[in-house]
Formats: sequence, C-alpha cells, structure tokens
Amino acid sequence: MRLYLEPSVLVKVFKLEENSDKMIDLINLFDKREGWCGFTSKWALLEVARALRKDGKPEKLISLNLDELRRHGIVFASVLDEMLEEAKAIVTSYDVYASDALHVATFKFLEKGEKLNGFLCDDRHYNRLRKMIPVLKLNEIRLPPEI
Amino acid sequence: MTTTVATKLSESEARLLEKITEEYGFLSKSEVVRNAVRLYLSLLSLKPKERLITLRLINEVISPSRRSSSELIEEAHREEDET
Repeated sequence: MRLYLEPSVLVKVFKLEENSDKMIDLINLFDKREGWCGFTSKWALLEVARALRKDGKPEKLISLNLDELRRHGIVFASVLDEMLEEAKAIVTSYDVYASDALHVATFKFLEKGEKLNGFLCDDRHYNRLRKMIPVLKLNEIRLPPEI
Repeated sequence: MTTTVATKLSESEARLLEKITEEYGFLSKSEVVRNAVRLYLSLLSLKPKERLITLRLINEVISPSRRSSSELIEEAHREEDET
C-alpha cells in the first residue's frame, strides 16, 4: 500500500494516543520496503515541528524527533511551483486551510506517478478533504499481522 | 585507543553543559558530553521500531501530551490563517 501521510498522523509517532502504536507499525512497514511506502511533503516537517512546539516539547527534543522522522522510509517531496498553483486553486474553491490545500495538491501531483492508494489522515481532515481526494483513516487500513 | 573529537556548541548549549556538569557532580564537561554521546549512540543502535517507541517514551516523560495530534495540527493551521 502506498500512502500519503498528512502531518497529524506523523505527529502521532511522538505521542501516546489512539493509533500511535499503529502509526509506528506502519512506519516499520515503510522501512521494510515490502510494498508499503509513505509519502508526504517537506512542508509537513515544519507542521510537525510547530505541533510539537505547541505541545510543549523542548527545542532539542523537537530536533531529535524531526531527525528521527527523516531516518525512516518516508519520501519527503519537495514543494514545487505547480503544487503551489494547484494549492492556490484549492484554497479559492474550498473552505480549507492553506496547509491542507498544499497537501492535497502534493497528493494529486504524486498520485499517478507514485501510484498512491490514499491520503492517510485523522478524523477532522477526513471530513474536510474527502470531497477532493481518496482519504483514509488509520482505523480503515489493515496492517499485516507479522510485523 | 581513544580518539578526540572537537565540536562547536551554541552559547545556550554551552551554558546548559556548564550547569549540568555542576548540578550532577560530573568531573568535567567532557564527561557529560561522553555520557550524552553514549546515550544517543545507544538510542541509534536500537532497531528502527524500538527507536521510535523509545523516542515516544522520552517525549512523554519530558513533556507529557496535553492535546491530541489532530488538535495540535488544527491549532497550528488556525494560527497561520489568522496571521
């Protein structure tokens, strides 16, 4: 399964909350490279950093977390001008935040070339973005048992 | 055999190193750095999944979660929208 990762599912990796174990298992699958691949935007790293900062994590720990995130089998796509153009069109047509629009645009850009199966996100984003792209929640994906 | 490695620290890191050396009764700042390096190398030597679980635990011990990931990202987005 080839998934685009919205930042809220990435933040789960560093927090003890619902589905954070599953998210760690998923990253472990990406590391094994057995048909499971994760993609996101480089912009997501900034959003993860901001979220951790808002959660009261100290600066050095945030840096450690981001370094760790980059060590795993997740592809961090560069932000391209054409993605920004697409994001601009999304922001003007739908009631979404600029960051959401950038992720949707990045997903659409990668979708065909990288054969993505879905956009993995939390409940809030699921409701907001499902009109535009094939969104998936962590509860909706089944991981192989032998991990 | 031993090797000497030189590194540059920011002013705040140097101050923290000084403070920790005194507070915890280390013999020298080098000893603190050696311990920090050993600890970090131990973390890096774990299997990827174990490393993530350990790092999550470190995050929770140092600063327990107050809000969910979803709420934090939402709040950050709202902030961007307001600026």
